[in-house]
Amino acid sequence: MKRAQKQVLVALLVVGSVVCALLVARAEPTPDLTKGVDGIAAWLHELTGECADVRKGEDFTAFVGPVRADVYLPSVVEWGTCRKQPYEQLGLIVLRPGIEEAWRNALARGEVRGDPDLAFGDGFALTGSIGMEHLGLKRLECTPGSCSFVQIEHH
Amino acid sequence: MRKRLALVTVVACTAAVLVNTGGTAVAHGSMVWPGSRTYLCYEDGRAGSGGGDIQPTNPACVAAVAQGGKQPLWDWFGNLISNAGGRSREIIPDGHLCGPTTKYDAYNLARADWPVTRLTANQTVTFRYNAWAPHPGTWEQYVTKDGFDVTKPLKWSDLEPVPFDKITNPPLASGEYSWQARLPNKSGRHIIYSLWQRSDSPEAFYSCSDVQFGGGVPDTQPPTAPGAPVASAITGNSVKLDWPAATDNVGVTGYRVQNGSQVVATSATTSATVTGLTPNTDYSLTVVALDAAGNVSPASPSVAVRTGTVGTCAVAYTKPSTWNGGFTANVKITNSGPSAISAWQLVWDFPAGQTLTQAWSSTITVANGKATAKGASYNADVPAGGSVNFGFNVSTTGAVTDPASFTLNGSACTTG
Repeated sequence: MKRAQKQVLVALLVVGSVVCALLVARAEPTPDLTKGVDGIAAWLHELTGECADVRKGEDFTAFVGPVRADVYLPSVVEWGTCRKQPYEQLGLIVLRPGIEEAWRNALARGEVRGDPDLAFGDGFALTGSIGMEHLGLKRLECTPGSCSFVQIEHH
Repeated sequence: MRKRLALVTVVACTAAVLVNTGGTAVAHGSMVWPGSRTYLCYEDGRAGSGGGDIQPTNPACVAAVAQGGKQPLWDWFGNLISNAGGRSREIIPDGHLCGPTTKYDAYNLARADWPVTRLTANQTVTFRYNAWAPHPGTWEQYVTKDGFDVTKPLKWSDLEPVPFDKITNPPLASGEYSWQARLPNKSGRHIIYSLWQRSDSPEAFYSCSDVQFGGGVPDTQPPTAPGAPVASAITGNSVKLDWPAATDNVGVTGYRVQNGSQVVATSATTSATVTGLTPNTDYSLTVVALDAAGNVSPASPSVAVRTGTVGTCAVAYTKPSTWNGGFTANVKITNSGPSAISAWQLVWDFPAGQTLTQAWSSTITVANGKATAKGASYNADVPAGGSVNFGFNVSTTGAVTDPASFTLNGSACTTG
């Protein structure tokens, strides 16, 4: 590669990374949770243009299976799904406090392994993993003794 | 304005990523061919529902959905550990290779009836891996050792020590990554275990593809017809069937119980319980056998079954807590009949203006203005002279009238 081309690429890298960092920082997870799942969907639709049709009232246990439902359900205020690529059904969950302790306890009892599979915002969570970092969401890393939020790395 | 901001964000980040990766195209997801368990169960579930939902018919897929829910199939491409960091063999215990996290644990079930892809040993083929997002990384494909038993939990020591195929940053085309690989010299039933470790992140992806190595001649011979089924444990809504096994030149992988052409149950063994039947109704049930190639046997002789009468039921519906915009409801079903009511399903009107937000001691689905509750694993039956309880929370807009009637497994219940 010629030197001039390298310089252009490096410049693009620097400028793109800085702009990206600044704009992602502004894309804070701020759905209106007073509107419940509809508030999450509206926020997601505003950011991505997807998640226009929300399905609610379906069986949470049928969606995540009985093991995870036992852990998550006590913290679920309301939930629904919508379509957001690549997810045909992305779960949108309004949370009340307690999910960290529930997961830690389930870990200690050997009922679950690893970390919760949700992407967390403030008072809500999505069930996806791909693209969640662009929404400013975080993962929860847990041991039986403690849990900590970590920023999701780029997919 | 916010949409424009989001668009600019995506463009800027994409540009940064493309420059960072030097334009290298790499993968994210799961094996499409030979299909992974999650992918083929997803396809099976989509076909079984006629589209729009996931209702698998393959017995292993049915069992996996019962254990892990439908979400792992909607997310069939997300079987990953975020912080594997090249330590997969250290952090994934034996028996959990196919689904190392709780979400995908059901795909570790040690069964012979997962959807199978037929392969020819030593043949050069094109592997396909779906691609949702570009990342650099290396794929390793392992095959199980000779003598591997798919009905036992898959262990690291079941895999050949060296991958038969390994590739870094394969080419991308039409939304999939594909590359050529030479298949190993194997025969019979095996698992191809695909492990993709990203090089720009500690994240790693896992998939198990169930395969049958043959000699290049496709299996077109169907199993023989199963023997005549025998009915027992007949209730108002269910019947248990047992039948003599069918045989096959390669191997029988499962059975379907049919009412005419309608599949009413599937089983990996020579026994099944058909549920969801209507009380006081005649059925003519047959069984067909399937092999790994999808060949279907002739039907067994039929068995005639007349379902029983459901015991008298009573439903007590109470609302211990009501607030502006919602309420909690408790429901008690009492069976005053002489026999147990198995696999109960209670249906009542659920008009617009209500949204189910939570249920306990049951699973409740709402569709077309009706709510249908089914028991949990521990209260799926109402014993003779006994009762079961469940409850739910509802958010409301406007006034809501309590349901006036309930139907249990197709029969009306008294209320009060």
